[in-house]
Amino acid sequence: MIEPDIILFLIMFILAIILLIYLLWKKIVGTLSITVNTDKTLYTKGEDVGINGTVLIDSTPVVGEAVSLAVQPPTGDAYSLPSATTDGSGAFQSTWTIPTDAVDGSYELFATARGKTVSTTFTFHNN
Amino acid sequence: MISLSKNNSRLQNHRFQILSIIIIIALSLTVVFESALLFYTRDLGSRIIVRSQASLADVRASVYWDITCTKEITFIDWGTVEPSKDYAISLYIRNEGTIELTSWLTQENFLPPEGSQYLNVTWTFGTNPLFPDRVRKVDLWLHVSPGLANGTIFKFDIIVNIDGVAP
Repeated sequence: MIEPDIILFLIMFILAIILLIYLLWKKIVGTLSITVNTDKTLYTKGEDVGINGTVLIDSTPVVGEAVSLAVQPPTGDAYSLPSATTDGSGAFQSTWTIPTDAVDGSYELFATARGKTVSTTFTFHNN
Repeated sequence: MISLSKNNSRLQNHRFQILSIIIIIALSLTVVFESALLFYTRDLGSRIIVRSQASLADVRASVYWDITCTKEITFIDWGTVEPSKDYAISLYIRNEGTIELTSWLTQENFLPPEGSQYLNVTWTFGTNPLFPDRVRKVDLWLHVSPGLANGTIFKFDIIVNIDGVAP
């Protein structure tokens, strides 16, 4: 028979190893945080959407990172925007000209960096 | 007294050895069992190939997992598929050329070849053209015929055909 003490020791040992690996992973990789915002929440015909955001790892700026952007209108196909790049402070900016045939309603802006996607919404009214 | 202590120590060592052997055997059996299981229930996979049918060079598109088009799809792992079931995935197709395009699906290169009798793929792309720099979310369905025996078809290619649309 295997001693219960040995089984307990093995379980505790395995748990300790898993915890150690997790902590090392967190230390090496860090926590990625991305934000994306628009300069306004409501736009009308002829206006441009100002886009800005940040890419940070544990509050440290990620410099020169490509940020992929897309806008999903209330109906129909999404708009693929040119990628933005983060500056020395981990910030990125972009502008999207609202198409002349855009429909009224709520739009969702998506931003992806390093495999993580975040989004924000804004509203468009033709008049 | 010393002899008893030595005996106890030897007994403990012996138990550790037995425990180590049990763990090694259990791990080996798990690996063997999983390999055997994988061999008999091989997953179904599909390559995704975008093929332009246009004579114009600038009819281009790619297929992605995400709306921001960062993860291109080249292969779909359907897992172990069962007869009489449908499987759905969502994907995004982006027009990367300068001309409006239309798209339709075909399937080829079934392994084994008779797989074409049992599998069919449909999608929700529709008939509306996709404009340049636009991204369309599409649901892709794999329909498995009741006649399919489990794990007998291992792969086939899904061709995303694209062609330009005259403005």
